[in-house]
Amino acid sequence: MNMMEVSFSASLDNESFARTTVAAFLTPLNPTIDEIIEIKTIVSEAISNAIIHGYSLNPDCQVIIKMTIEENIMTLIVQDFGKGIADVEAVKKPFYSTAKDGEHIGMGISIIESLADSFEIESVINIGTKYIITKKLNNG
Amino acid sequence: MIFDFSDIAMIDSSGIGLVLGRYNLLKSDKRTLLMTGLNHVTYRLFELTGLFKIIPYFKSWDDIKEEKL
Repeated sequence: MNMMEVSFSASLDNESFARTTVAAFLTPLNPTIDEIIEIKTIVSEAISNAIIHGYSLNPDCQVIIKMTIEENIMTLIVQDFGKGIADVEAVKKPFYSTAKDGEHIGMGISIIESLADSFEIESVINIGTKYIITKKLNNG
Repeated sequence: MIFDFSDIAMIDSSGIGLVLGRYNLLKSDKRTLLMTGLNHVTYRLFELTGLFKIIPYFKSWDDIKEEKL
């Protein structure tokens, strides 16, 4: 098994860093281009939810990414210590969003579910939220 | 207006939201938005969000030209 953990400021400027870091860690598994795109998209959605909803864009807070690889199965954990989610089942519904502007479509979690093999959310109000995502890489 | 995603490797929900926002802006001006150039993954995400129901998608510029748009 291989593992890594990084933490960074809750700034959307760090999304690219997070995507690149995760992709780099997966390199020894020779993922396909589509797998890389899918995983980068998952990271983008998870990170932006932590930053926007967990921390209300406060860059003084920290987002943590932990990854393990066992054989060809990746487990990705994205964690914040922010406001938490009151109703986890509600946020899983497509098009649910607490953001008020017209460009937040509320599909982030649906996209993660669509691209991941498994996806769990653990959250406690005012303690934080953890996304636990697994994906098997099929490149063989 | 035509959005060509040929040089776009990935898109997330905020990017899709931006496309939806531009669609609404153009619609209020009675203009049409078309899309082309999506890869396998980005196509699946737009399909998941249902945006193809309101924004026509063409596989290539040739297909757009054939429609004489």
